[in-house]
Amino acid sequence: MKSVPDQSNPKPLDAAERRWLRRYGWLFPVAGIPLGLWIGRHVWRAVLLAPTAAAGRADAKGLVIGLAIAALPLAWLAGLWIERRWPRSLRWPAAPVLAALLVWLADGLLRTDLGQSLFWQAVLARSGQQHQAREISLFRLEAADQAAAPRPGVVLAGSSQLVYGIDAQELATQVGQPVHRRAAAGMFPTELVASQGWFDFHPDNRLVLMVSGFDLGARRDLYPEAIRPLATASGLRNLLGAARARFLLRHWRAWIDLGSAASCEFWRSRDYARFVLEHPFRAAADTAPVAGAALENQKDGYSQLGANREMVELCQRALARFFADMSGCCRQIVVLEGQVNPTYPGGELAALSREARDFLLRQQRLGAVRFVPRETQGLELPEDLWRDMTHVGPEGRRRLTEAFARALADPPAAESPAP
Amino acid sequence: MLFNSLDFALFFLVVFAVYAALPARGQNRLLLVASYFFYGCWDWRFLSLIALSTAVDFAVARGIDRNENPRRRKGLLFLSMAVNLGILGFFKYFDFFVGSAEALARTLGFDPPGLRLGLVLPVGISFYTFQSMSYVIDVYRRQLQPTRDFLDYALFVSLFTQLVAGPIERAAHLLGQIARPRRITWDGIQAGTWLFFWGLFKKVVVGDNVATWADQVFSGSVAWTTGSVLLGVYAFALQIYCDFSAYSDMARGLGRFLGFEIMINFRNPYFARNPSDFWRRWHISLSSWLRDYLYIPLGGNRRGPGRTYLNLLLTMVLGGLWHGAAWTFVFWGLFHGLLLAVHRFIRGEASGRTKPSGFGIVWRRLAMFHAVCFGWLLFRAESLRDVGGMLAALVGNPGWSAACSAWTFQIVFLSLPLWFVQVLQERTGDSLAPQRLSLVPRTLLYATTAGLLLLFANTGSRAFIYFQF
Repeated sequence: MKSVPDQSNPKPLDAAERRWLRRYGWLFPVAGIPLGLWIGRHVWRAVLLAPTAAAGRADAKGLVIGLAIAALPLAWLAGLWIERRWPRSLRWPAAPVLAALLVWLADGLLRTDLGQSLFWQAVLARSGQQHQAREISLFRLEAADQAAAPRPGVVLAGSSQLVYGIDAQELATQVGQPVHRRAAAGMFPTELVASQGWFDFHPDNRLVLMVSGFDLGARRDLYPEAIRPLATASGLRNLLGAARARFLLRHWRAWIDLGSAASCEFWRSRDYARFVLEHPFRAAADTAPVAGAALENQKDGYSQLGANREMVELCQRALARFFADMSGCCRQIVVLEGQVNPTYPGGELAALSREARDFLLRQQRLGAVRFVPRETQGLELPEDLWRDMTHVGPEGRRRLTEAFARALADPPAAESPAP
Repeated sequence: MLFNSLDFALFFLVVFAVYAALPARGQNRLLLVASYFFYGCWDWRFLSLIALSTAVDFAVARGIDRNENPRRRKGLLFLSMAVNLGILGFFKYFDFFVGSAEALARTLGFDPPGLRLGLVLPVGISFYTFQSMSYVIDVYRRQLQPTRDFLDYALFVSLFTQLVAGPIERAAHLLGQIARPRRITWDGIQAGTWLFFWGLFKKVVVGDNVATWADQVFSGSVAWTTGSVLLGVYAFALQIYCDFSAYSDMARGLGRFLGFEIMINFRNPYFARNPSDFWRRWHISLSSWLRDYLYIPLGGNRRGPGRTYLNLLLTMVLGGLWHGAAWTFVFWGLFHGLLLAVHRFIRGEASGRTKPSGFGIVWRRLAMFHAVCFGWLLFRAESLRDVGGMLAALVGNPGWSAACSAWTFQIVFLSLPLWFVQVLQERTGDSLAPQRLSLVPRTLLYATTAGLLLLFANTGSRAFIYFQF
């Protein structure tokens, strides 16, 4: 058992690389072009996990990929030639800088229409029974679509109460405007505010939210894994601005995580990149959510509604900033007072509901939002219309959609209730 | 405070900034305080153990050096051994031996009282006690002059870069570096950056991700079939290598930043062609420790073949037990001891043969890799019953599920850069070879690892496996 000495050798490997290129360099064009064409032909099939009309075409993109692979030995030789002429001090930093540039370019590619479409279609195709993956991919695909060709409409933002509670097509028919769904499970105020950048794509939009005491008190803490997939720079700025110094300090790790997500698409999409990697050949079969920890925390939050006053206050301050910002980016913000199953067991719910209403009335007085309280919604949702404690069933969905349509019609003269 | 945590990044940035501004003596004091702080972050109560081990071994080594009387020298050596092995034995093995004795007593029809204490194992205890013991033994053997500076010695035992999971440094190598002034150099920062980030990649992209499948298989939450067990064992082989060697790489990288040269602990072990080659490549600091302080004192290969085989078995069983207090580790050690003994026997019989061809080398590497994998099955299984169950499934329950295909894809995809770098390191014999590549391959390698880190780094803060040893 004698140990081998370290054979550290500071000499570059130029000569060995040249030898290698002379011996195997021809493989790059010979194998690279067919490989590129093959990738071009099969990429959509691999993304969608199903044959598509585009699958049989050897398109130009495949050829570009093939040529890029074929050209690698030339680039490699050029690199060897350039480096030989560089001073030693430039040799080491050049590669990390170029690598950072490559990663930045790849991140930019992922942000393009094609990148977003490929990536989120891949997530959607694999989502199976995993609601969170399906909702987030639909959210991002629609957002990418809007970014490419913005057209004004009703932007529906909120949590799973809206995902399952509103029939977007029916609502579009009733209000006579396109409805852009920007809702996802677990999108409580902290997540909503952090997602701000996805809502401000057209100045003629009407942003519609549903906020209740339940939303204010549902989060017991800041959950970066729940915020990360939708984090945006403008939203994060408002969230940071709303937080007290002690809260900021205590959650410094989360801010770094979310800051990275807001500025880097790779980091923001990482949970779903892993999801695709975990399901390369077929859709997810089980019903376990992608962000398991996030949903566990969410359930925890239900049982301890409003337990963390700090979070309740953060939600209000963050929403106030969000409203102030968004009122300058869209035509109108309409906030409907939300509700939950009348049998909801949370003891804190009544106090939180009062607090939410007071907050929204204050926002209305400031001119930031148009608040539609429950009394004026004309909406009755007795216990039997609820699927569970927070989500309505089919009949509740129909009624809730109608209530939204009414609220989005021209507002009646006197809407404000007594506080 | 894990190396792959933001807390550690902040800690190291602060330490490095202050370190760079201090003179040599001040640097050592700072590192000592930082190391105790680092260790205290795991559990401050165990600081007393490391301090006790340090104080005893420092004083004993001085005493041995001053004494010429062989009996007194030996007595002092035994005192050091008793303290170090006493601490290690109590915290690590007390519950194991008492539990085993209780089980045996129950088998024989007795009703023994429950004497197990449910002790918490201090992080890194096996590493720093072995490091400290090697110093005393070296002084006893007159291979090393003891240091006169207690603080330098305390830093040698506790240096945070390799305190909790090795490498198990030798005083002859590290203590001299501590005593000498060190310089922060551009070359050191370059090498340190590569080693740290490469370690980070291995740990959070490969090790922690493939661990999910290994955990599912070994915990039995996935049905055991030929496919699932085989893939589970491969996944664990990759996990334990990426996890442990990552810690060593990161330790070496951090050391380079601070001007230290920490020893190499892994040298592409899965490229080994035979058991003896494997142990020259895997956990080199432990295998060389066991060779120098156990195998050779037992007689090594100087007392005939029979005694050599026995010494190999004994050394490897104790090496297995070093990893943890469980019968699975004992059998793992025994298995490797047998491999070494059999290899030694065959090598003796075939000493006249020619060197193997290219195919022969590949075949030997594959065979050795699978022998090591069998060892990992013993090592990772939660009980000997599970070992039997998994082996039975491996040979008697053929099957390949969709999950196996998905995990094969994942394992291959995530570990591609790993194999590329390992082949390069193996062919050049240099762990820093990727740094010597020219612009284009180096850029592509850095960009690929950075991209994979951003997309697939497992941020679940899974502790390094070897922390528990």
